[in-house]
Amino acid sequence: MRAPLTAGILARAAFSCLLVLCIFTPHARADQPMDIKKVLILFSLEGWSAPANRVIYNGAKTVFDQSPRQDIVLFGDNLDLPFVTGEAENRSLAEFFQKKYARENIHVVVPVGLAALGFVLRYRDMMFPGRPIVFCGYPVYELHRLDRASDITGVAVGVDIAGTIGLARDLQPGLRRLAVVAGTGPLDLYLTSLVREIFQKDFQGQLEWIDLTGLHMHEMLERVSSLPDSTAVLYLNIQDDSGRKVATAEAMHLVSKSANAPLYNFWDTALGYGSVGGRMTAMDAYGRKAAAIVLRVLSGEKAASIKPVVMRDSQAMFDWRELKRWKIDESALPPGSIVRFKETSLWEVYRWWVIGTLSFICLQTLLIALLMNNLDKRKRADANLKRAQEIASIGSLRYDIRKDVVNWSAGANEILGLPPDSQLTYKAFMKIIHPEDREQVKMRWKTALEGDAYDLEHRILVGGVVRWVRAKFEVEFDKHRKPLAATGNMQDITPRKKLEEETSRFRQQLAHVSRVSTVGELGQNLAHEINQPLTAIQANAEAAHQLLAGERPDLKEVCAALDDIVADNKRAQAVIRRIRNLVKNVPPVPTRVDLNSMAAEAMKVVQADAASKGVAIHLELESGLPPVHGDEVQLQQVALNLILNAMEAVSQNQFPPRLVTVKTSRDVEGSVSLWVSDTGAGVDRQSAERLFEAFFTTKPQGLGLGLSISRTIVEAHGGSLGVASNIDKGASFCCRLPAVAA
Amino acid sequence: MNQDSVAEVFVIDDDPSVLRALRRLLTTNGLQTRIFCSAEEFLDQGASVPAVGCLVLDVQMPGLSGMDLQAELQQRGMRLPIVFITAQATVPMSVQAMKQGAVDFLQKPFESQTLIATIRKAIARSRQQAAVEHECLELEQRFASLTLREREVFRLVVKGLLNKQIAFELGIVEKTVKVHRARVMQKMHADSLAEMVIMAQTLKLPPCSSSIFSSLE
Repeated sequence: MRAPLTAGILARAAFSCLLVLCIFTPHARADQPMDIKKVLILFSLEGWSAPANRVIYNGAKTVFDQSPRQDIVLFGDNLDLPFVTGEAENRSLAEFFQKKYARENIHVVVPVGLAALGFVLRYRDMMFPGRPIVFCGYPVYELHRLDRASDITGVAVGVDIAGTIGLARDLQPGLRRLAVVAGTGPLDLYLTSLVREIFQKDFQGQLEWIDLTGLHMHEMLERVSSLPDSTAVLYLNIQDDSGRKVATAEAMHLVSKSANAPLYNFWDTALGYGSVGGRMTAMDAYGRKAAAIVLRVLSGEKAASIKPVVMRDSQAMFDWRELKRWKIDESALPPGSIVRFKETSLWEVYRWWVIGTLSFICLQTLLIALLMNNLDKRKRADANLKRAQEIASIGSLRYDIRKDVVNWSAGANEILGLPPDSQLTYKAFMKIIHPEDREQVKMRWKTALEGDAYDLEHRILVGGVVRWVRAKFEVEFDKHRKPLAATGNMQDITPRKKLEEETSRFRQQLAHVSRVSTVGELGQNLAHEINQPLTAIQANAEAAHQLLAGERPDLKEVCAALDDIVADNKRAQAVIRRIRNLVKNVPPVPTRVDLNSMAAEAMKVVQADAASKGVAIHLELESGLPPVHGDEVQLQQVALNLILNAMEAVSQNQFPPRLVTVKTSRDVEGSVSLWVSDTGAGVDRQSAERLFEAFFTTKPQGLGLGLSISRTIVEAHGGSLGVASNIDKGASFCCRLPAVAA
Repeated sequence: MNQDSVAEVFVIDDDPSVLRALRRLLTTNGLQTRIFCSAEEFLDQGASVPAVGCLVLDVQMPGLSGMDLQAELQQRGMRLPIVFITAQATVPMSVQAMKQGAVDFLQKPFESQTLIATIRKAIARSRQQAAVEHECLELEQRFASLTLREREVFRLVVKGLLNKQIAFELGIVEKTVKVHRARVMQKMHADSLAEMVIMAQTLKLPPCSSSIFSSLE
């Protein structure tokens, strides 16, 4: 198993494949340069291009790096043995290495593999005299050969050939043939013989041996492409010493590509170059275990005293791509198998990226949708608002106080009668406001700038036409409470105002009709009221006449008669004035009204009627009442209605007392009350509220409007009108009105 | 002597100005006048009501009305004629008043002369009434002076019975009847049978039945 050496090849190898990696730990080197321990890993071929070499080297390096020792420097170099043939060449190579590392003073040499160890042992005294050897990846079957060597230990490995062949049988049911591929290199030969030995022992008769060893590459490829059915290819190694020189990995790749049967091997580092898989040993463990032994040696242990470590553990490992290629189901793999080169899908590799991205996109989409929806809603809301504003005759306005510019929305154009997209200053805007309301608007605006709410109904003039608007504004202030702008709405309330005016007019008309009807009811008695003074006047006049006609007229008596005539005349006039007041139809004139004199006046109107019905009316007036604000005629109408109702109630009494009490009083809450109590039958609870409904009446001839109109009047004056039963007899009506400061 | 001087006019009205004016008017016209501002006030003074006079009464007054007072006076047997005055007359009211013996029902405002004339008429009626009452009283006194027998004879005479019929009725002799009859006519100041009949009517003697008299016998 000695490779021939030639000088040419040596030179080429020395130049092309020399790899020296000096990895220093700067700290250690700086402090103690003399104590540096140098370890040299020597590969037999291919150097760093062989995956196995890289893995072993890295495994060892990891151990050194992780050890507490900081003084180890690891070198790696390649012997390139297959290219060296012949004794002379080998020797030259050994000399070369001796020279190369003479100055380095290597402490421990780690040859990797069978060939490297063989070479190192052979030229040990020349290359690394007296240095301990820690071998790595040496076949366990060859351990016996090292018995005579001294100061040597290391890691021996047993490739699982039987396991791998068994694996092939498991994966390819009905397997009948095993094609063994190997080159002519020393390792190839060694492996081939080893496999053959195991094959003959375990598989002879079960499988047919197809020998594909020692073939030229092109021949090899041809052969593997035309293998019979039910064949597995066991790839050992291809190291060709004659003809094409190919690296192991590359060769395996070529064979696999051409093969028409699955290819198996047992080096994990070779996985990925076309092998389906096999029972493999972990190459990096070789490196790590060797390094651990190196550490022991460096720390003073004798190499000879360290028992070589044997690695037999194998692990079923597979190349996912090849499994796919040969349609081998993953479920057929033995439990605990490692499958490499699995083409992970984008999903597997980028799952979180994909989820994240998709989530992000979803979120963004959602957000966009929401925004669009919002925008749409807002557009609709805007449109709705615009429509609503149109229907409600509302327009929006904004007054920028600092720029003195009033802007408005489309709706406001129509209300204000202004062209769209124009603007006005405050002064110009004020001109639109009805002259009579201008002062009020200015005043409210002033208070609004001080922070008050602005909500005002006023008139505007649009092309000479009066329009009622309601304007509601909010003033924005800066942090110094300086007004910035006012935003608000303006509504055309002309129709409402017209309706209000009309309603008010109707109400007034109704009240008037009711008064006239009251006067009509009282007509007879009002005639009485006038006839009384007329009677007196007549009598006095004739008496005076007769007195004067006498011989000695009593002039004093005549004067008294004339005085009485004047007084009665006035009395008659007062009655007429009262009636005229009641029947005249004029809009209400709010004034200060004294409740007492109003009640007394009302009583005078009904006095005659009361007398004719045998009803006594008592006045109990509290003196010094504050006045109320309102229309005297309307309030008197209320009093009249209440008194007449009371009279009506008591006149139904069969027996006296037929008593009506009219009382005024001052209430604590700043209001005054007019009470009209009767001694009639009273009101039951059910009718009490209905009494004030229009057309509700308990009288045969009543219209049922009196109390309804009365309540309307009182409420229009900001008061209230109610009824309650008296404790003893009858009912009391109470008209409560807000008092004004006297 | 002035006929009116003894008569008194009572004016009752709740309106003081009307009261004052009427008193002035009536006094000027020579009528003795007293004024009252309510029916109640008048009733309180009722003791001094004269035999001759009249009431001028307002219908509508608080408390007792004119009509109420009329009824009250009738119940008390006070027969002063009443002139109603009202500022507000209704037909049913005036009909009722008249039925109850009112002299007249005047609507305010009235002509003063109308009132005075009505008052005079009322006073006349009062006076006449007073006279009738006076005569009646005298007759009753005369009648009271008759013996029981004389009363029986009186009743039978005015019934139109002849003396002998009376005698038969009473179971006495005709001559005795004649004596009784003469005494009755004397006591009663009657000059003729006709006069006696009128007196009986005035006295409103109950028609006597012979059987009753018999039993009295």
